[in-house]
Amino acid sequence: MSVTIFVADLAEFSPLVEAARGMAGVTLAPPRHGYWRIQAAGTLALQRKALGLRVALWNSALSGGIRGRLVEYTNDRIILENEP
Amino acid sequence: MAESLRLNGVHHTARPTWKLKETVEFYRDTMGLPLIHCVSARGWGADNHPDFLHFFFDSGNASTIAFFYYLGTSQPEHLIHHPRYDSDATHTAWRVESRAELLAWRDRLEGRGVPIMYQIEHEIVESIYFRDPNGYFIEIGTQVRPILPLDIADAELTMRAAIEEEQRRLSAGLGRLQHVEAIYQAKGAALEALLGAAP
Repeated sequence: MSVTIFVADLAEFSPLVEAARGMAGVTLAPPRHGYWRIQAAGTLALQRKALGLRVALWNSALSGGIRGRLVEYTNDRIILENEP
Repeated sequence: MAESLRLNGVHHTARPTWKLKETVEFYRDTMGLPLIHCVSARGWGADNHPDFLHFFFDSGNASTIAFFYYLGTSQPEHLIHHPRYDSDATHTAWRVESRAELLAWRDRLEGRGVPIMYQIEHEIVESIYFRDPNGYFIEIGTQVRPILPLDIADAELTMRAAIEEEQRRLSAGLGRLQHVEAIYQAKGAALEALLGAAP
């Protein structure tokens, strides 16, 4: 099973999509029904500074929906892992 | 004709004050909102209603902000504004039409001694926040981008996920929603059902 972050195709969330483009082991599917799909096999990690997201948006970065378990969500880092 | 029944913006919102002079000076003089109407009435109606002033300031686009000043009363404990996130949820947010105007308001208020607590760019609005003499939370914001069809569909999806997940928890005796992660997961499951499983 893989880990997924759905990202609404809205301008303020585009840093998530741009970051996913460059990540090893991550696939990015273009929007369907308005949502990008960012997927990885086991773990997905995001760094706030690398994304350049302001605080308010960092704290709603996963609002498009997720598949997997959120094992870390701090002011700097998000880590999603496969469901056990 | 229910389809054609529409509200047409804000006539007024109203809150009570026990600081008459400070409230008038803040809204009329510091903010520059014209005082456009004042009811000065003998108490009438239910509950031993005291005599009162009900006064209105023009906040643009035919909207007003209004206050009640109840004569001969003391501010009850339950109406003392405590500056916390949950009390501040009750707030007034005015619109300006550009970021330049937002910054001009910031300059005006700071120049007149009103501390700006935050300036935050949210998803669709960038805002400054400050307090009036009653401690009430005030926001002025400018729309960052138009509302799109996806905003509306996404809001529906989020609400449906949140309500269904909360109902599921309540039925299972788990109580109301505790963490936003449960909503993200419910929404992710709904989207996967809609879009198909990952390849």
